[in-house]
Amino acid sequence: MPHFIRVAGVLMGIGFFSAFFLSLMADYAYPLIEKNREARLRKSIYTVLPETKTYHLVNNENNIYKGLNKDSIGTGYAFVAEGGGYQGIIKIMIGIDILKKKISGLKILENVETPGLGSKISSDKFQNQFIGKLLNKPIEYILNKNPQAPFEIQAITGATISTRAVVNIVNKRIQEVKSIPE
Amino acid sequence: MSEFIMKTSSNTLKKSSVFMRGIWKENPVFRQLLGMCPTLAVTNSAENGLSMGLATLFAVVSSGLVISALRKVFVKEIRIVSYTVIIATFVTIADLFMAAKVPEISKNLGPYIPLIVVNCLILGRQEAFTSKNKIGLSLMDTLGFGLGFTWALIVLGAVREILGSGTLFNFPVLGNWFEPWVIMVLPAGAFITLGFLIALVNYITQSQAEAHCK
Repeated sequence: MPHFIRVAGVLMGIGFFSAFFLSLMADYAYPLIEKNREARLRKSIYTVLPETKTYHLVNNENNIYKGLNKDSIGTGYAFVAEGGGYQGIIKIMIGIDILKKKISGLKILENVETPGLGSKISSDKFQNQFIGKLLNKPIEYILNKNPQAPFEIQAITGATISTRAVVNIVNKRIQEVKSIPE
Repeated sequence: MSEFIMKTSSNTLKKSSVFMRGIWKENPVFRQLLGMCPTLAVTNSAENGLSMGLATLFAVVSSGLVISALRKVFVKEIRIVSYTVIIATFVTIADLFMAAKVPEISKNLGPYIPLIVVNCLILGRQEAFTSKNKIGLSLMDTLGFGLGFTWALIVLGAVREILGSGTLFNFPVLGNWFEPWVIMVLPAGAFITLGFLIALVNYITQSQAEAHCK
């Protein structure tokens, strides 16, 4: 057969089989990947809203979830905040109490900060500092000493930029959420 | 492996030496310095090194088998394109599988799994060997190089993890007295560790060669 027909045929054949097997694999994998994503979301909501047994979406455009405990009483609201960090996007799940007075929990969902330095924002030690912070005043960070005021947290040594990013992302999102009538 | 040595046919004797090449003498990381990008990037822990190694092993073996089986079909001018499409298919399958079954590890390795497609180790084996040899030998070759890559990544990852985080496969192995050398989990630490390990492998190879000559 003419050479170019053979070239076209081989490439088409390889392309066809590649697409075929990939679509089989995608059929298998996509539902599982979706389930994984939901499981991760569920886990982070349970972490930032203590005592929660179930949750549901209460605000669609802003993706705000309301948690309910085992007696179906509201435990609080959870929502995602994101923004730029030192190396890339940081995604945070914030939980506030049902009276919208303070932070009930914070969990870093995704970050690509420097391992061993900025990545410490995912540590319990750092995240737990946000628990109990009141929503009426923006959170601030201080360097190298214990927090002096109730709205302060201590920055991670050597990771000021990552710390500042988290604080700014949290403050901004809380302001946005506070201004939603609900 | 003993059955390989017992058989008298020269073809099967070659199988074991073909396999062993990639493990030590022509180790892709310490001797050939192939696939340096993932090697340096994901070996910040032993677990990541192991996962990347296994994913690469899957990609090189599966694409090697297909390419060896179809070696009479390829057209010379488009062979690299053809190999790359086949490799990319298997890497994507591995990527989807990991995202579905081991999402934590998949997130840790991030963009480096798709980058396996351009790991010159894989394309190198197909071009140099599997496109010119039968399936049995190709299987041995790709297994050897894939496992050689994997153990090298595990060692590299283990050294960086122990010194950089004080853990091994996420188990703390050095006590609280140890202040981790954070640089070891950063890119600089990758280069430094790799340099020392290559020097070590060279030293061992040289002493073996000298012992042989005596």
